[in-house]
Amino acid sequence: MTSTFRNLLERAKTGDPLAVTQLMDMYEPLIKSEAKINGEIDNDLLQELWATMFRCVQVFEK
Amino acid sequence: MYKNNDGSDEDHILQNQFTAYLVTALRRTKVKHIRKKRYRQYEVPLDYLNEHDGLMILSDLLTKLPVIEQLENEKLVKILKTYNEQSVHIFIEKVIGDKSFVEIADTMGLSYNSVQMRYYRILKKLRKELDKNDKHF
Repeated sequence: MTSTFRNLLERAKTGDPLAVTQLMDMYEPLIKSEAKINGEIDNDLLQELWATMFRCVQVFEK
Repeated sequence: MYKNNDGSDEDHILQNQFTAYLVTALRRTKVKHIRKKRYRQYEVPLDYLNEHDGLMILSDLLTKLPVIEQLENEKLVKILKTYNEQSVHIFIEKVIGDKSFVEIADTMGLSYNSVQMRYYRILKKLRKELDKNDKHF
């Protein structure tokens, strides 16, 4: 199956768990690197960043 | 599976746009989170107040104040208060906290260059102002 990013985003928007997981895997390194404060992951911030990512998926339009 | 994103086709461009959008949103969340955390640090817990029947020992109160309020040089404090809060924070972290630019940049969600630039700018301004003030006395 050929899966494009657009397709993945659309599916994640409708709440398809597989697409959401795929997106999470894709952006996990970025989220974790942004969640670091003084070289350590701040768990509260990590949660907020995940929530931000889900909001972005819902809001982003192209 | 995805092939490497070289920005060559429409789908890759879309992915790059989404990533850029996401990075901006993440950084904003981070800055907001750090500000909120820093603010909470200076709050006195309610149970602490209850325990002490509203009376607080001055030294305890002092350690809970932002560093700027603990400085003894009034002239310096007066000048610092007129500067941008973020720049003053960088200055204090660097001089009193003895932190590196990298650490400060990381905590504040700013870039290394921006922290360095703000630090040297405030240092230059301070030297000038303190010099000017000294001449009055």
